[in-house]
Amino acid sequence: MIVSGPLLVQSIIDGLVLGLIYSIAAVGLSLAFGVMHIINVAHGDFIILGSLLTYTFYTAGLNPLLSLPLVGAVGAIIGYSLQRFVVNRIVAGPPLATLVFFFGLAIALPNIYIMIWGPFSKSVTVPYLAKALTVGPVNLSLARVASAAIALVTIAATLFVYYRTRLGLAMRATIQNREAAALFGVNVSSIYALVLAMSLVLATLSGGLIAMSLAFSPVQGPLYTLLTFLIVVLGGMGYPLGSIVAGILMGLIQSIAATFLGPAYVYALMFLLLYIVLLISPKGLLRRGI
Amino acid sequence: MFLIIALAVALVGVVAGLTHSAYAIRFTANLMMWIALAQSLNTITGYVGRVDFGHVLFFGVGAYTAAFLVLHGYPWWVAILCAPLVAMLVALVLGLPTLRLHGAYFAIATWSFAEALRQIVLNTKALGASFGLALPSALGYTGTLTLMTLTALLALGLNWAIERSGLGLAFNTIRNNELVASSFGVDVVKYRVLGYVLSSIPAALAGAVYAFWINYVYPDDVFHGLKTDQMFVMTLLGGAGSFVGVLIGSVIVVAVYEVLWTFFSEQLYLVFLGIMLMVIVVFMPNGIAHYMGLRTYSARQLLASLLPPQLRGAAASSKERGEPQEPPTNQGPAPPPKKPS
Repeated sequence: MIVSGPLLVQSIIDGLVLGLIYSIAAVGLSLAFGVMHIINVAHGDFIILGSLLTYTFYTAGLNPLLSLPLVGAVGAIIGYSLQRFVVNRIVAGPPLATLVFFFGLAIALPNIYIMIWGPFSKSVTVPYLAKALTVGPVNLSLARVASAAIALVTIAATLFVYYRTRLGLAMRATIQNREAAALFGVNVSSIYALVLAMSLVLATLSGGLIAMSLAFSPVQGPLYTLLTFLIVVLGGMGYPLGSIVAGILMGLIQSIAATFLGPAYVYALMFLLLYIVLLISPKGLLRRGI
Repeated sequence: MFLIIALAVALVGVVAGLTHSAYAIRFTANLMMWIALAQSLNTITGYVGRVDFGHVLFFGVGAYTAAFLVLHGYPWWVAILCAPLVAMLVALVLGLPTLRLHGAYFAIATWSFAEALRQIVLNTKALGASFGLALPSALGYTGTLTLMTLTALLALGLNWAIERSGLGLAFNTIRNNELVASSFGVDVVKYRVLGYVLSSIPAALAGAVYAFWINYVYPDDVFHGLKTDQMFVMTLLGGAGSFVGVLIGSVIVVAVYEVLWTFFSEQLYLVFLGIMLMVIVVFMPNGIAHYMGLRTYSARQLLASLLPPQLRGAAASSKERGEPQEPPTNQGPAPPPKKPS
């Protein structure tokens, strides 16, 4: 193991890009948990859905960057209708129901994906995006630059909606007190549907970006679920800003550890971090979670 | 009640053994393994009330401990008996920090630990890395069946004892209301960790026997998350917190698996498994045991256990009120106000 400067800089930059992509998905998960107390254990499967859709559009000849809005739209439709027509019904039932419902979804979805897309690993490469920008000793493919830019814009847009719009206000009010929000005229069930829609838009967008820089397979969903959960716990549950910080941190750890220790130790290291954070500061690194 | 059930389970094992049919023995050994696994999840999720998404890790730890020891010259029975000891140690280390927190952290920590362990084993040369370890065959068909049946009986006995004893009472109180439990002098964390450690025993034993049965352990089999999923379906279908219910749940799921796997495909079985979970949720959230008049873990508290205390009140109050097991003591203060924007 030789720690060389350029290699370190390279892995830090790769980690930042990866971290931004993870952050988007993690914010989506955090929103669903914060507003609806839904623990969506199928979140990673929706990330993979984003990757698979991007792949389908790509094989149909569409540029992955152009298909991203379409992928996000599919996520929005699925999220909205899932919550509106199914989950809202069981949300009123026993609380275990939603968890087990998503758990069932997490088992069924990868197998449905295999039936549709086949079991093999896939990747999306766009010739002109593979071109590398060379800045000093660091190589940066255009795909990564574009991913980072899109991730940043998505994060900014999400935070804007959450903290600066009436919709976001309604969401935050629902988090604080569902009954009071309803009394003040918030249509809670439609807010719920919009939150899951937003959550899945973020998941599928993140999946689309993942497809552009990494290989993926239909059964990888649980891994991403786990990763986003780790990020959300590290950042503090129900606290979007924390998720973004923790997401970037996780991307950095993953990339630096994979470069210098080998990919084998990435998961062990991530778990170790979770273990230590739970020991010392269960409300997340920033101590702002719930 | 327990005696009758234990005799019935033992009888099934003996009859299967007497048929000398390889299929019957294989099927029954598999059934016994799942009975043990589902009961072991039931201990932590049903009685203690903590959702464990990584329970398969004890199965894997058991299998690998047994395989490792046998390959280093220890006799098979030493290997099998050491498996639960290692698993208990793992449960202790993992449970101590995570069981102090609210349930979502435990669920995620166990899940990620199972995944981390799989990755570590995949990359450890001493454990055969991705190739796994091949074991000498030490038990034979009937030996496997006997040991699996004993493991299943042990798991059933353990949960029966919990239901009947003061331990069960303590678990019940903790599950229903942490605050009440601790104000009555129950050390909540100690009991949860104890429950978690106990729950690791049958899973590790089943894993160890499985290692000798298949003669080959590799990470993507013994640490496969699908095993946890199946334990969950069995436990929830049967009714978490009732050893009879979970026993029925495991028999049904194993039978369904056999039929679907034989006549259709594994994929279809998995889609079925997922859909079955959703159906259970909507139509029978308390599981089969509920309809038999057995006490089960009210589904309501399982999710409540996943929420932080200050949210628990809000979650409960928005549901229809009047749940007898959940007194409205934990309405809790409102979450801290967000920064004005």
